Amino acid sequence: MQRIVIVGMLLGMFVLLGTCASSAAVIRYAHWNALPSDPYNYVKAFEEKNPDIKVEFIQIPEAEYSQKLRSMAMTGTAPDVLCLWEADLADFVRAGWVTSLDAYIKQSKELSLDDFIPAVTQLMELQGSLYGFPWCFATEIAYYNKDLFDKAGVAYPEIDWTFEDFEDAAEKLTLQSEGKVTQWGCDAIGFQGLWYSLAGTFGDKIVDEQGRFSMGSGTREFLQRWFDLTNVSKVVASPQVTTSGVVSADLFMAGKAAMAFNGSWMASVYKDITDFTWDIMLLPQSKRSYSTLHTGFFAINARSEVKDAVWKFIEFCMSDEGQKLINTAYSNPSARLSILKKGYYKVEGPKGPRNWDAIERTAEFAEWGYVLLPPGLTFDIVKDFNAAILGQLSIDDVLEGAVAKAVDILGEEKVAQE
Amino acid sequence: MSEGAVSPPFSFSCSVHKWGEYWVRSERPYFFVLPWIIGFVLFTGGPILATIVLSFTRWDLIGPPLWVKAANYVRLFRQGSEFWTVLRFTAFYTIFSVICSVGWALFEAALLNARKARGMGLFSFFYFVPAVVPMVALTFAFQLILHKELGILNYFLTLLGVREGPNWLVDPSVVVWIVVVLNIYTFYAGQMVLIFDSALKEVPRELYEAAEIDGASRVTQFLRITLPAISPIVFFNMVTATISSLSTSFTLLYPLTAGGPGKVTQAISLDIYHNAFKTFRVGHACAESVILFSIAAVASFFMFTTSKKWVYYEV
Repeated sequence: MQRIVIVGMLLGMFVLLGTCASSAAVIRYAHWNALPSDPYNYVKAFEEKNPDIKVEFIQIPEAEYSQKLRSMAMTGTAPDVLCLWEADLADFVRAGWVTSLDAYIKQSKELSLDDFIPAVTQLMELQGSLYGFPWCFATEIAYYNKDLFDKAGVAYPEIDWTFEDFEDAAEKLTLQSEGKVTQWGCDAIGFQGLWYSLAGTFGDKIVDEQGRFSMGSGTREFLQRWFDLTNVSKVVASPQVTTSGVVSADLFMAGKAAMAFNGSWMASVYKDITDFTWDIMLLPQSKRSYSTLHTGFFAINARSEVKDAVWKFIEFCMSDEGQKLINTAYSNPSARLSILKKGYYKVEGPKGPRNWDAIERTAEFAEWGYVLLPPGLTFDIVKDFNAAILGQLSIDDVLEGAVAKAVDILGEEKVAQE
Repeated sequence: MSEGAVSPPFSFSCSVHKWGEYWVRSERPYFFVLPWIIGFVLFTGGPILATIVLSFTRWDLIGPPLWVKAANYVRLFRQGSEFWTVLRFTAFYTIFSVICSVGWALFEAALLNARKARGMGLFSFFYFVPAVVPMVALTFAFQLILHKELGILNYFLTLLGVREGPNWLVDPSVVVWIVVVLNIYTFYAGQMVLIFDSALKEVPRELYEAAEIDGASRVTQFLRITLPAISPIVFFNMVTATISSLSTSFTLLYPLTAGGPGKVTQAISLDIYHNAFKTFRVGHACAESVILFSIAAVASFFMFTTSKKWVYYEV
């Protein structure tokens, strides 16, 4: 009898312990990046601070991230915390798969909309409500080889440099030997977003206030100028094959091109350069300053049963403590202005970069632009841009084709006609 | 009635024992193959049917699919559609990659079977190694080799006096041939070498000895003895290479050229992926899949029909 009582008590204790253990709320969180190791693991830091909430992390490979999240959302198995790409956020809002964060931010003591880069409120206006917070951001900038500038006696680019300044510098920095170019003024466009950002500096909206695809005369002018730089004055290298929007070989990194346009994330790649000194600058302006922002948005799954716990997690990730970990781990700046200024994202190499102001200044005017459009459309158009620079298609045909493709994929109402 | 066959239980007088025996002999085997049938229905037959149905819808993986009848097919085949470019390249790529990969595999296997040669094991190893290198790594290496400014190929050309080497991967007239030739590095090309190698070893040696006595040259021996003797294997490899070229060209093309420049190397398999997962036009992609399925079926049927004229199953 005594044994039975003891066994019963033990069983009761296990049940009680089990109940206590399961009382912790569990939230599922998906991301394309693996979690950073200690001491930058922000999920672990959150769990330590909130022992009543457990985070189940799901890593989904980048190549299938978008379609996987859509399939999960359709079948009701999406994670509680979604980190959504720009184009996906709009679709998830349309489908009602994410919750508005308006009420949450109103009562938050940690976050305020005034503290975010302007693009966040612009997107909120476009979507009618706030649905996500940028987990950090990246943008598109210019890189230049200071040693080659010095050798050629060319002044470094300044904050207000223009496309004409760029053309002039590229010409002076190009070297030829026996009719063959041995040093390019500028590398070919390596990342697809730069086509849109540079076209944006020539005045095109890329995506207008109504969220419509909007490319026309600005793109035409930019393509013509870039074609001339590549084929007439031959100061820009010929386009290379672009897979997933990125090229495999980098003339700037090899020290064979004095300038390059690329994403700000390349600063963390170039920081290992030891052969020459280099720095960063804003993209040259033509009719206006323009650059594209890149991010993922923390959003709450509308079907989540633990929304309050999810909000706690998002609020932590967007807090100074969370952003410090995220910014440092991924070398990307915070979309919160007060944290951006603290510069947690700055990872300098022995030879560069030093002019971090270029990224912070870019954040003031940068827009979401082409990233709000389906990646298939924008990538397809970029392949045609390359074909135009190679002389395989006329610029007019490329522009006509771009509009036709946009109409085909987005529908006529989503394309602004010039 | 053949031995072992069981007549169905049509009479009321059949005993329970006979019922049991009938079940054991005629129905129980189906339970053994049931797992495969379930797998086929769930993972092959079902998706094929779903693809056909979805090809008549518009679906962006967000809302429910919208029935649009044959609009996707009409859009694909309308005048000026880029799908024509995709189809043209797919046909070009399939025909020439099959010729190239089957021809190369046969050539390598023939070398491995050369008489009086030493170190064949080592050669087999080197011939097969490229086939087991992951395609992504291989294509990345070729992107660097073929780079206009930094590539080693153009560097060698400059040593030969060529001042301006070609821009290999973005010149439309060159890149289409490069992707065809690179097929010799794919896994199925390596597999074909092994299959041809074992087939060649099965060709009776006395046939060659008799031909030699008759004064036949090596080329004549190859054309008159070897090829007819291994024709079923050549046929098998051609069918599998055709289907592989049609459906798995993605693994080579996506990391190497991503279909560019423009749509010059956009094979149908790549276009399906692009439409389904990059522009989220699932109905459109399903229509392309149905077309790809039809092309593979017609090509296989054509090859099976014509095979009667050149495939010899008995030597």
